[in-house]
Amino acid sequence: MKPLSLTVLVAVLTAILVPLVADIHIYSVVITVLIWVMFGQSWNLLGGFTGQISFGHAMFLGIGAYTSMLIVNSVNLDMAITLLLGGVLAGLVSLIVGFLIFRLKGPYFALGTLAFAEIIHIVARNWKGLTNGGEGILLAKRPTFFGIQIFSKAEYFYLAVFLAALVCLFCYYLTRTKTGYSFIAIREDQESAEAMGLNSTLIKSKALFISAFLAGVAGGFYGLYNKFIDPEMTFAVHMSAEMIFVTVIGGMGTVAGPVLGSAILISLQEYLKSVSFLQAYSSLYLIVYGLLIMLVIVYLPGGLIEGLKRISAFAGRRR
Amino acid sequence: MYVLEVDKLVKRYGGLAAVNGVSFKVKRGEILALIGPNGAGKTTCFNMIAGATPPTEGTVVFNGKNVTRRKPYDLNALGMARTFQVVKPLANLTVFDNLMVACLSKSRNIREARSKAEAVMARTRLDALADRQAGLLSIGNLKRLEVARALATEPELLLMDEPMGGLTPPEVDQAIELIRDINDHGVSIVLIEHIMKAVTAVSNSIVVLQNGEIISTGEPVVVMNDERVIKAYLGDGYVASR
Amino acid sequence: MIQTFFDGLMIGGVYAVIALGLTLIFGVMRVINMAHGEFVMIGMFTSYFLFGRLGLDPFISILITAPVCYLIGYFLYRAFVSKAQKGGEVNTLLLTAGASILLVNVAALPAFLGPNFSRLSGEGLYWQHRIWNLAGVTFNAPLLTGFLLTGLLILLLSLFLKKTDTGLAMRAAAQQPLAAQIVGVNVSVISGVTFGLGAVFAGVAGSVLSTTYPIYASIGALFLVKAFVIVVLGGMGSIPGAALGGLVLGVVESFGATYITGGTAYRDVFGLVIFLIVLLYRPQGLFGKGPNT
Repeated sequence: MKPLSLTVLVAVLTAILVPLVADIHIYSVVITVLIWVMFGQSWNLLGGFTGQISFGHAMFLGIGAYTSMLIVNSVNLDMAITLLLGGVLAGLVSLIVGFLIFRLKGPYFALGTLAFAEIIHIVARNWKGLTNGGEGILLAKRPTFFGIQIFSKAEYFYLAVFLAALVCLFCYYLTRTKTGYSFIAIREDQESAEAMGLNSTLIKSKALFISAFLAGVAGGFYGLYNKFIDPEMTFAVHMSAEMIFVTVIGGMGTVAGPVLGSAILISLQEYLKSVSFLQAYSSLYLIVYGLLIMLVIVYLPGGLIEGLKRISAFAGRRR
Repeated sequence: MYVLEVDKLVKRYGGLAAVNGVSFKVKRGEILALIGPNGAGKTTCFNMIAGATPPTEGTVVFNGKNVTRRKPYDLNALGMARTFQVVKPLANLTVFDNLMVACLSKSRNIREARSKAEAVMARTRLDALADRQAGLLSIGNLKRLEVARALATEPELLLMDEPMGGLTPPEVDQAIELIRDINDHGVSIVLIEHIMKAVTAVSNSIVVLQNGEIISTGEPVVVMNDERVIKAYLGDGYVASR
Repeated sequence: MIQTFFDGLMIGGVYAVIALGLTLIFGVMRVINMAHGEFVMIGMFTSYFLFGRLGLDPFISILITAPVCYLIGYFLYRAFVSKAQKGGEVNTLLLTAGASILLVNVAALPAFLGPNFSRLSGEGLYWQHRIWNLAGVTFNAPLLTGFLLTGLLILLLSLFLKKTDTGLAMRAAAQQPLAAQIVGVNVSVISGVTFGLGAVFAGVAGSVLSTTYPIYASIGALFLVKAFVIVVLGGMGSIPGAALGGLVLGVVESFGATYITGGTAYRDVFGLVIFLIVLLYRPQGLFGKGPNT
């Protein structure tokens, strides 16, 4: 089935079926899954498709979140514009980061992005004038999307489905363009690609910009949905880490990966939280999470998507 | 007149000069062979010419333009392509996709890249392997793909680094044919090779390198009978055959 | 002024030991161990536990901390890290990051450290608030002892690397793993030994620090960052670089804390900016093999 129809089908089904069974709690879980799908796709574009592993993507998420929140709280521009502005600002910052850091290779690039993100994190914590520091910012007005007011969980839900589907489709079609191919070439062998005429610096910067843009847009939505943001839930390292792991566990370098990874991890988290006798062991989810990361990296480097492919190949052979 | 002019190239690593004042010129349309013992500095020369390593001293002039220290992708855009001694395919992609990537920079969109890739594939007789994963090919086919990828970038000058390394005798003959075909289409070639049969078969002129310096240069017949070359590289008892 | 200097030097010695472990692991195996801080935490916890249960002096408990950390490190390497290495350096980095998450959260279980802070203190602790006065300078006793221990460890390590067969094997594996294998070095065992040794260094530092720092599950991150700054400054894979870098960081931090007011948060930024600048402009650090080699 063609990806466009598949995505539209899944999106429409989700949009119809979920509200039938949903209460506030289920809406929360689904929206969280969708937000992390977007974060995952953003990171995946740079990491999975272009091979540049960033440990600091939270900085773009945070820039988007704060930009959107501040704009809505002041002039309350339509979300369609605010989210875009958040994305663009994140993209512009990424150009600076890329310019400085792209000379580094592999793990050093990762560490460089981590350092950059932490600097921004600490600045956000302390620049009370702009970010209100650790106290964070509360959503003060009701945002609109193309004129429709977005306030209740249900309304955020529909918007999340729409945005996530858009992001997934965008990423899918991007990888089939000239640009997308060049991303993959750089990932496979940068030196070889350069010898074939591909400008590695330009291509990596493009990938970073688009990736940061998506993170900024998703970050903006994330902030407005939570109706509150602070430096810890936006810029902190654990956000960067989760963006990576959601994708790695799902399957790096595939568009389906972040979708699967997000769905499974978030659901797992919710399930573990709800089991009463595990309440005392609040770190249990993270223990499973950490173990899962290690097992996937060692035994299933293509993520759960690869696992599914292997299972279906095996089942196919049985017949 | 000259598609490539290399002047007094030097590459020093600390106190060691891997290349120590190499100069040569390549006429448009000719095939120049760069030979010499291992460690003579041949690949280092290529790296400096193709922009992979900056020279410590010296200049590289391509079609009259000074291109010293330019990046490999800029050089490729100007019309220079190279193959690697240890092949560098995009291992996880198919043979066809490898060629598509090579065609990207000279195409406006995917469709154009696709048709160009198909043409190159046919020309280098890789069509049967189109959907094979590049990393799984045999060495003969890997070498063929390596040349095909370079060709796909529509170069005027092709630098080939030991394209026949590891090939069987019939494969060597095929490779010689391919090189002749490429040259007949107007592409100038600089060839690093150890297989003397091929060198003598295709070259218009030869440059012999030893310890980073040129010890002989000129027409194949002259160079092959040069005493210094025989002593340094060919070995007594080598009989040049044409 | 002199006091500040020596205070910094003492803690710097401990930082140096932690950084040494990290740089050793990187130098021999090109592995960036994101779980390194957790071994410090394990050392701290082990000493805390043994003091609490058996009244064992933290410095004596090093005799137990060392093998515990070695075993955990060796196991982690053989079971997971070694298998991830074929996927590349970033792959391994992600794996150790996962290991870090695992270790922190196991430690956070109520059976171990739980969610709160703990302190190694109480009756019978020789080191409780103990200070020594030497030539007019006040020394924090456990840190001074730790400093001397550090010096001893560095000396032992250098001797080990230069004079023993295993040390030689480690150096061979560091320089040319494939060639080392061909001449009979069992690179996977050597790598495991190295990883275990790196963990031991971190753990020993943890035991020393357990008398001075509060102990909680996620304290590792604090030391990991410091170790990274040191290792990048001193050069990834360089032992003298890590040793010197540790001392320098300790002294710089000490002076910064004493003389710069209100700058605690921005002190971290300062460190990170230096880290970035070094990474970008002098990637090989003062002594080491750089990120682009």
